[in-house]
Amino acid sequence: MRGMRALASLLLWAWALPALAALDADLVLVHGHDPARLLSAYAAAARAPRKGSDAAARLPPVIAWAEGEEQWTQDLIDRIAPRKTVWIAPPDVPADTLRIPGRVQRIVASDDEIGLAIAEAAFSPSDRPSAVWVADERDPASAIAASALAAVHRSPLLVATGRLTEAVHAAATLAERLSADEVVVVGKADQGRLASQLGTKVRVLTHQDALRALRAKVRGTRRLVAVAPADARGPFSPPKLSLVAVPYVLAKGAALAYVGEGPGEGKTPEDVVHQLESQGEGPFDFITLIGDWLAIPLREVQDIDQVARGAENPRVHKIPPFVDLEGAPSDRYVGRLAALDAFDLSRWIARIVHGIEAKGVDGVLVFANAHDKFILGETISRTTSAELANAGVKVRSYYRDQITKELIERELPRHALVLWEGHPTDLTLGDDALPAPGRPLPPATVFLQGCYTLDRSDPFVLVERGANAVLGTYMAVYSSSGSAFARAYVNAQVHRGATAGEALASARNYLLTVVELKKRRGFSDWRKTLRAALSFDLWGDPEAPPPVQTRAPKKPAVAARLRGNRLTVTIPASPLPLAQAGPYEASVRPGGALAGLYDFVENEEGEVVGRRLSELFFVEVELPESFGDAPTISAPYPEQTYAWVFSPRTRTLSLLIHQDALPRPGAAAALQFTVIPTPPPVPSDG
Amino acid sequence: MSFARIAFLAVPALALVLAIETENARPQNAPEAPPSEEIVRKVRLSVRVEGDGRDAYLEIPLPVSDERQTVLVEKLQPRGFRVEEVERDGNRLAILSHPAFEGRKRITYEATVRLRPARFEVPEVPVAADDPPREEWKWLRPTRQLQSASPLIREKLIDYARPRLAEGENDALRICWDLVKTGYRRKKDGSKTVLKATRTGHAAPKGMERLLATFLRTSGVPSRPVHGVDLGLSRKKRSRFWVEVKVGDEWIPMSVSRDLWGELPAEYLKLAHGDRPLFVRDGIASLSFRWRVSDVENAREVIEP
Repeated sequence: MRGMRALASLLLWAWALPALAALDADLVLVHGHDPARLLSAYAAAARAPRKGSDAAARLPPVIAWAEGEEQWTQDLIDRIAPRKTVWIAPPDVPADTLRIPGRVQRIVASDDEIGLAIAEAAFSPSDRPSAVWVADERDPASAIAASALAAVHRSPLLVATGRLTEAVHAAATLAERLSADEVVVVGKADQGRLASQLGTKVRVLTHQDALRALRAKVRGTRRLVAVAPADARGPFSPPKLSLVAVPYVLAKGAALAYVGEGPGEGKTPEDVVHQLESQGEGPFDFITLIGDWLAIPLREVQDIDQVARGAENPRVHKIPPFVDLEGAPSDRYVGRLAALDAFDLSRWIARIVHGIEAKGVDGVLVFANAHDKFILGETISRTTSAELANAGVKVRSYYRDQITKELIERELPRHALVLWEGHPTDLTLGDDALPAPGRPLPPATVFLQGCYTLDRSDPFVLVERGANAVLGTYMAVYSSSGSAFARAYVNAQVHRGATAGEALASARNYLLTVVELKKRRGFSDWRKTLRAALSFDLWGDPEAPPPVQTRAPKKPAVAARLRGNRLTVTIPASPLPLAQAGPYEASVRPGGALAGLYDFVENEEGEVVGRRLSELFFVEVELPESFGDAPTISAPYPEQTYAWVFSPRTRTLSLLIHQDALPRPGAAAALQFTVIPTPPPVPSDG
Repeated sequence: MSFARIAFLAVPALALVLAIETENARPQNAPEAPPSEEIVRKVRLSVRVEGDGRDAYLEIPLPVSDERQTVLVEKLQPRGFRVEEVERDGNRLAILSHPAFEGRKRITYEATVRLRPARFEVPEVPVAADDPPREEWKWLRPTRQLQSASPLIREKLIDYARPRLAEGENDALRICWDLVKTGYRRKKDGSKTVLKATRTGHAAPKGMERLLATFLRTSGVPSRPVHGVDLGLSRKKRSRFWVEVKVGDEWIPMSVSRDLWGELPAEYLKLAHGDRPLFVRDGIASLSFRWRVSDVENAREVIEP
């Protein structure tokens, strides 16, 4: 009797639990990108997030695929090695197209029946979902928001492929069977009429209401995902990237907002961030844009250097979001997820969210100066290789004519970080390219340090084949600035463990301090450096950790410490191995920096025999609020030996020091700086 | 066995000579052309292959009889390769294989073909407003050389098409054709890849045809490149590349680089369609081929790398 009572109370307890149901799978394969299949699958696959996780829901990898995607999809399936897979497809898709290990549950139905079939497979009356959600496939903005909300509430979603009222009727029947409290329609519908027709509780939300409700669920998050639902419909093969954004939004526990045309009301990501923050949401540090530059356009500006020089027809460049043309420091960590189509993006998001790795991949691959035109950049690149090696990272570096098609094919799939530095050669095209292999790539970070490298096909193809992050540029950059940027990016990851977005901001701020230093030293070409600072962008997750593991540096690195208002920068004695290429040489301490600044090396007769790059030291420290928003620096060194930028938003002071501040070149030192708080505002007379 | 086809049978390693004579019944919907425009030619394809000990695999496309071209007689000499004929995506392929292939061999294919010019009325095809039906996906999806989903391609097409669509024009064929004609400079050594051509603005004839097929796919119009030979050429290069566009149930030929709008000269012999190389090969160290064409006497021979 006691046992019966215990069982009864257990059943009662289980009955009272919130919905736990979901497709029982560690992989969900969805054929095509029809909202009825895909968005319903997200809702049905969602489980409660793990304790302590920031996620809004926990989903297994949900991968959209279609004919033509088999090779890349198969590669990912092999890496996931699922034990239980749910296969969702229309009836005419051959079941043996993909090799799927383990148990496979097949949900096969036509588009107008698939939503119900998925819901039947995932939910039972004992799950007691709070609602059945409904949206219309012709209204992607509503359908996306409904999918995310349904997933958060672990409730089924039906996406109407025909008349919305028919789907609502089906939802009402389903709600009754599952004992759900209500039917929630996201989109345009007459709530009163539907309620009277159905005799069940019906609630209608606009997509704006749904987005607000979703953001309320993740209130306090510092992550924002901006998508453009306008890319889900229309002529000229829009890529539908917004449809596959849902698992990323849920896994990050991010706020979701719409940008671009149509439902985005013409807003830019900057508009949305400022609007939401002014309404008390956020603040948002990590911002992910999901969409290509047609859906989420980039700003276009005239070349700042050419304009200053009075060029008649200055070039027009795209620039990344959240950068300031005047050189204000970078203070948000931003990445873009853009892919050729929803299939590539769904695999990419699965790799990011689930950390799917490849076997036999390690270390860093450096290809520098393949066209033998950028010796200065190559010199800096050699110090970057040395920096990585000093931190215990396995590095393979190749230069100039060592870089061949065969070498690229062999080495590219074997490394977690690939640093391509030099002329903008297509890695991925035919004709005169040095093509990347046609086989899958590991989830690596590929840094394409060259001119216009994001304006080409490379990032798309690399992502399609399996890369997890691509960094590059939308404009021309000088090799010295570009290589200096890449070195600063690597330093931020190696010495500070910065995420991809943080490292990008740090490297941008490094070049901005170089701009300030150049101004102080009277160099008129600082706009070229500013252009480089504005040009780099990240395609990838801004929260991605460094792609390679590092150890404590064998030789200690440059370090900074703030005590009160005293900032001490410690310059170690021991440099990295001397880097030489052509007439250039560079000796730099671990964690040190370089740019296109150099001295001439003379022999005993006073003849110039080479060029030695000036050693720079770049440090970042966080300043307390007490320093105000415009602190200044003073030091017992000449003014032209140091420069800084400060971000009030992140409270980060970025300081750059020239080797001329040292007692002598190459010396160890503990350089002292004083941080002067912002002076209080002078009261006005009237 | 269809009257429209002359097929090969799979045979093991020994040399195979198969010759069947047949003639097609003229289909009712054949493009009109008077009999005087018909030509009959004997073509001979010699493929020289060199092996380095690996298992060799080679696909040779064979002409298919249709409304415009009829294979009257054909013969394949596979020189010790195992051969199998397959139909794939509407192409007829001779699949040749040879274990641990070493040394050199010359595989020959000979056919007598009757060809007629084709002229089609090209109707307007609207830009697809939304997703095309799934059954058309094979000829709409992006492929290695037809990167129809690339934002670089879409941006180019949208920028060009928007004003025309705003003026009420909606013919995808004409828009894509005009874009390739006016948006790219034809250059013999221009790019053959659509993305590079789009970036540089220079396209080789093959690149122009790929651009047309790519833009059509982006616009939701099924299209495919075609490999063929120009039997009327006495020049070194006989290979031809054009595009077929699906309108209704009909595939209409077009060549933007040769200004062929819905027409094809009698001398063009179609070999295969789709985004594929002319010869698919694996385990073959080197391959070269030549065509010889003769109408009566004076066989002309050319070598292509």
